[in-house]
Amino acid sequence: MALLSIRDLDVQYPVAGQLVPAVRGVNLSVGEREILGIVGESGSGKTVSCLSLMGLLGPRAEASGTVRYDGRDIDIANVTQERRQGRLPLAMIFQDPTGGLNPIRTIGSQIAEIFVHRDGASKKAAWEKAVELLDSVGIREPRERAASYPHQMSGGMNQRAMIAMALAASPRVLIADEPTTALDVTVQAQICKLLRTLVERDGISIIFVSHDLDLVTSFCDRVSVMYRGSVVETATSEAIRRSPKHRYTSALFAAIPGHRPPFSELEEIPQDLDAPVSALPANPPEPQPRPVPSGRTDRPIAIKVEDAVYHFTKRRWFGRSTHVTKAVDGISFSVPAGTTFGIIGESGCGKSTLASLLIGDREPQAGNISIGGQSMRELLAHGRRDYARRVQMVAQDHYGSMDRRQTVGPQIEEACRIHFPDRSAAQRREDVIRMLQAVGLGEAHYAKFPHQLSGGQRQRVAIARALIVEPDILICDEPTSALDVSIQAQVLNLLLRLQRDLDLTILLISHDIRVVAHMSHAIGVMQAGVMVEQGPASEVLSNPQHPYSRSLFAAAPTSARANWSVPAHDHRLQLRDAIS
Amino acid sequence: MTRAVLIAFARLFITVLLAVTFVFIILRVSGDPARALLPLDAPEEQIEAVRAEWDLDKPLPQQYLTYILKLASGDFGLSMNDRQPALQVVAEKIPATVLLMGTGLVIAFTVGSALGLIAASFRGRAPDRLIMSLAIFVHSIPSFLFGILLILLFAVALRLLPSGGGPSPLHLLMPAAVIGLSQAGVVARFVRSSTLEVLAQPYITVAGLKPLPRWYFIRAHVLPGSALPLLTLFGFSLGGIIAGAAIVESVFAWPGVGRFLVFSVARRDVAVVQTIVVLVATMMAFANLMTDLLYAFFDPRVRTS
Repeated sequence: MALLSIRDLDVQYPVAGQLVPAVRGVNLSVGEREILGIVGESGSGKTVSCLSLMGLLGPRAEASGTVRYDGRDIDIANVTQERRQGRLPLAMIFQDPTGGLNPIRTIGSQIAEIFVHRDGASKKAAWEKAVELLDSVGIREPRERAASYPHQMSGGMNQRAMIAMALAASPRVLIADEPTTALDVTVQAQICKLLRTLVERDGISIIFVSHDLDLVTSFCDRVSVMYRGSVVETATSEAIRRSPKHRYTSALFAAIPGHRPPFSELEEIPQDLDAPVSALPANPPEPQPRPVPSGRTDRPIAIKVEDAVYHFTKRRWFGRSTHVTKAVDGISFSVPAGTTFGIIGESGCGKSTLASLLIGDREPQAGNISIGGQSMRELLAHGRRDYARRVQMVAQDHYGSMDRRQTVGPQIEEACRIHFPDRSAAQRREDVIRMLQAVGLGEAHYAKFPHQLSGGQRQRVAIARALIVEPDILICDEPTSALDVSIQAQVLNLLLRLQRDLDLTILLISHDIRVVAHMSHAIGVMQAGVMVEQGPASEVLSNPQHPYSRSLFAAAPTSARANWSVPAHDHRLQLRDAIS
Repeated sequence: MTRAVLIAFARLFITVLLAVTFVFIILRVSGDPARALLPLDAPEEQIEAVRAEWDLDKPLPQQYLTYILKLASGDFGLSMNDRQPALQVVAEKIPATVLLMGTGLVIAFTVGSALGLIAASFRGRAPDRLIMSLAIFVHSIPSFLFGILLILLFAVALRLLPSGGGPSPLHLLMPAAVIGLSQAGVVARFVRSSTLEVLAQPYITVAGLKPLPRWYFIRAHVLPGSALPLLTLFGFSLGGIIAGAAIVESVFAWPGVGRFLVFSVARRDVAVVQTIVVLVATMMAFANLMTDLLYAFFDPRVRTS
């Protein structure tokens, strides 16, 4: 019997004078000591459903539905009141733990204030309770940490503090909205482990919201899949993983890299927003396994990095007491032409600094980088133009990397004008349109402004803009991290196709092991400015040598390790064991 | 931390030195003080005599050096007008100006903060629009015009308040209102936008979920964040108020430093003008230093970095 459920939830928001539905007829329920996962892409209504449970929809929303808690029905309009009066013991944690804490107050005081004002506890007693709670969520030295400010703690620690704060409300159900999305994968595993502890130790039920189907199906007991404002399927994680009933679910799995052999085509979920769910392909066609390209060592070396070093030095006044961040600390690797080298690492490991070295944005302080056998220093000595033509970049922020006041066609053409001045205007325009078609867009997109395009379309424009100058090398720094899984599938498919057609050399940087595993011929693992391990993709993935790589791979949630030939374990156990 | 304070003081010293130098140059290239001091038909010998007496016949670098050295030893020179020590004549006028500016600041920040908070809580609705229109109005109307309007209304038509003079509480009301209200407009806009910004922060959502009384929630989570930017504004508006004081004091015949400055500039009383500018510059630089230190005191993110 369910502890908490929500029935027939409808939420609408007024947009330009019309009510637009955000969720339609949603039914969700979570049992005692259960973790319910809600998974869906952006706009699927997963967050709106949670906010309505907490009474956080905001004054403009029109909501109807019933919440049933412990055998008692509560109208959705009354949940805030019921929660405030303690008859609906829910608490919520959010995606951005650091932003969720008041920056000018200590962690401890933000927890202690609850006891002071709810229970009338003395300040000292409340502080002691706060310290106890911090201890119970696995924060080491809780007394010292209680006196710290949010900016002095890591994201993972802040999320623990947020959980402690939520626990202060003595909730029976904890709603966690993308609680690990902003965190590194090893930290994600630790937070998941903590949440599981809360269930087993404190008897709390959890509603866990995520966009990551792999994470949800490996961590939660039961999963509800949401799509365009409705729940399309609810089943145990096991059942969802083994035999998804709904076509959207199976399509979503097929869109995640790691569920199909490396280099094979990923499922692209139709994007026309008006199509009913039934319009999805009945059964996604089995992918055609493509021969996995070998290391292709016969090819000439396109990128060669030898002992590259880049340190950031923070100089205080009068040159004394310097603080050095070793972003890139003696890295060497080489990439054969026409292959992809994938770099995996967590935030702060120096992978983006490495990218900036490769595009010539910064010069290495020591060591060498050569492109097609020529040293970067020599190439840059003749000016940036020639270098920029051969090495192009696709950045993570598809919106920020574009000029918002200019249509996308001229932005693509701009580089063309610089590098091929002898082409006529008509010819350049033709080139741009051909390139737009090559990335799956068309002439109609030439005169569109960036804000008129979707995220996936913008990232395609970014790829078109990079490729228009016919580069040999494409540096992709987290090219799909800001995109939904189904859009990510489109972009990855595009990159694979372009590499085949144009014989591109790709350096792919990502925090997502699944993406790197799907796209790369060779893989390097970075930690604190050092490449701790590198080699052919299949070897690194199936038999990681360095302890850091092992913990990183083990922490990655995936239900498709078979394709990496990593020994299969119970996934929940793996998450628990992943603590470094 | 101590290093940061030392650097701040060094910066303060440089600011004051620059201001002093600037005034020294301006006053000497904009006309001959000796001629301004004497009647138009004064004989050439008398002018030369005055020049010699005030060192005005020495080369400029020498005048500058003497001046700086004297300043450093606390000697601000003699007022050319009545041969009293300039520092003393100016000091006599300071209390009246401090009273006026202080009252103006209090009005600006209390009225402005209150209106800003009201506007923020009624965002987009009638009270918000009314307050924001008023804020622009009071700030854009020139203070001499505002002052004259008040005089016409309260002194001439209603005969409630004295039109000028002072210093007394009754005399203080109108000039302080002119100074305070025009700055209150800026404060209100600032408080409104910083409050709205804070209210949109995720930590406000999180804090709103806790079982906290409304007053405590506002006092502990909303106000501190929305009041922090006021520190910056305080440093800025002090400058505006000092500049405004010269005009307002003249309009209301308030016996303060501002009116005295206008008077002394007209008379080319070099020593007095220099004294006032040094004092004002020191105070401004000091106010900015205080702003920085207060930031460090109130904002842990600044304190620890």
